[in-house]
Amino acid sequence: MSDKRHLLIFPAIILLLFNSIFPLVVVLNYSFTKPFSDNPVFVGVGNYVDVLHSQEWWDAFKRNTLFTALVLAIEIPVGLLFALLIRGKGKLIDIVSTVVILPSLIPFVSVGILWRLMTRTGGPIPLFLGVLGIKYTLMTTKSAFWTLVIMDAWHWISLVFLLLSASLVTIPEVYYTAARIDGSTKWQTFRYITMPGIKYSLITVLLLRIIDSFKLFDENFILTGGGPGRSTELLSFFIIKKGLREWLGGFSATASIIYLVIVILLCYLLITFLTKGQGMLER
Amino acid sequence: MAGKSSNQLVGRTLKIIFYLLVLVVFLFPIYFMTITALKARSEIETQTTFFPHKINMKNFHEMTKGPWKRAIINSIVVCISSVALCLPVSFLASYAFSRRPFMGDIHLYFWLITNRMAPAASFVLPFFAIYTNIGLFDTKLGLIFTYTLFNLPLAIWIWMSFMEAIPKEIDDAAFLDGFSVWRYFGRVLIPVLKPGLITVAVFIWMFSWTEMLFAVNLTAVAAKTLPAQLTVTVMRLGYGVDWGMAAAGGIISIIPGIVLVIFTKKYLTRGFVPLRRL
Repeated sequence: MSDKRHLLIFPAIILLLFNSIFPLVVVLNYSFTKPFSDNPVFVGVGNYVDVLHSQEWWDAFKRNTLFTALVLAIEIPVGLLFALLIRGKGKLIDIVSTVVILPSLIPFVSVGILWRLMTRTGGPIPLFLGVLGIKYTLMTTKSAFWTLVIMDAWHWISLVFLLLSASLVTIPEVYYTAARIDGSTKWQTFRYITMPGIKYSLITVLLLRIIDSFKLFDENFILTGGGPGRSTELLSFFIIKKGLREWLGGFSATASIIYLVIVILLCYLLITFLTKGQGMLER
Repeated sequence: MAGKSSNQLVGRTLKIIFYLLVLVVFLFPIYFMTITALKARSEIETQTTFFPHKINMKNFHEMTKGPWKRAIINSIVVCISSVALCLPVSFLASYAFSRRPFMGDIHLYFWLITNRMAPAASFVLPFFAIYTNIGLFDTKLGLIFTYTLFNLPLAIWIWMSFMEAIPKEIDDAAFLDGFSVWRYFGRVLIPVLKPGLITVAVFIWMFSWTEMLFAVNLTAVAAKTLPAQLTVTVMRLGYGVDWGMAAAGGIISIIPGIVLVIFTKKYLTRGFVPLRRL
């Protein structure tokens, strides 16, 4: 049999050429013009200069970076803690772990609606915080941002938990038995047995969460709509707003390109660093 | 000895308290959405109650007609078609990647995966422009087509881990016995990879079911999916949001997730593949 099996890749490549490369060409073309006008004119790198001089763009970028740092700082440790505490056999543990995984399967929109309901004036969260003596309304600059962070954590701790607990069960029980016999402390066991065992899953989930929190749109859109003011405007929201609400096609397309380059570059650096330069295929 | 067992008791109690706390934190919002859906609009607007005064099925009744019914049907059609399209295509591609090294495959693979990582917002504007020009705007076909951009990379990534666990010698043995590639897939490989098949299908379904950015911007009326319909409902300004309706739609959107997590939990845990296994 002559080996032509690599040709099986073509259906996927053809679909992605249409869906990935073609739109990219279109958006790249927009970024050098003033589209959606009667006579689109070539403006060279004008749009790029505009975006990079736009305070709004840099604000959204900084805000998004802060958001990513905060959600990672919450989700990774809490997800890891959950994975360590919610394991073993038993009905209760089964139920608890199922419930913790559940949020990752809820549509983003519905998570947004859930939290709008919870944080509405007179809703459960303002009521609860009121009992504790904290005054809370969603639509202040600070509380809107923090609510977004907490909501994201509520949604995605599930994924960290899912990946890490799947990885924890692959560590052979003998290792722990041996550690016990040798009289290791809990910290030593964690540091020298658990951590190496889940290292790659931890790295993977870290990568996914960094990328996904940089792309967040839906929850943000539903919960706060970017407001109050621009206090919760993240990068995706900024691009959509510029493109499809203010009809600044060229500006939006340019911001998209810069955004795309940042995310892909980040992704490439992380993957290269985390796999020690060997790439993602196991050879 | 007595000291130790009382310590254990404290530990167990603390653990159970922790479990209950976790259950409350993750289930209460869902519970609250459910009861909101069961309340009459006047009750939602006037006070916050934790049990509805009177069970009111009106909101759920609305789900079975008009735009909601259409949205739910659209969502189901888009999801099933996405699975039907992406499952075989991603299977073939990952088979090629795992069995047949070729020049530049690492770069091609990276490019494929980056499509999963690429921000969807970057693609909305061009898709909008292209689809309005070629008549795919506001069609289910357009959405299904768009979703392959994100579904294929993820599907290929997940397939890879399952594929690489199958020894290549099995391929060779089958080919030596005179199996064609297609016969080998049908008789040997796919039956062996059944857990992978289920995992990939679940992930494609879930992505297509939850996707909202494209669904909102690439549809107008006819092809609106459930997430798009929900967005329209809560984004309505002026008249005020009908929270009971939004909550009822929200509950419906959660149902497939609940069903899938109960029946396929063990597969889900294998869905995402560590970058490099030990």
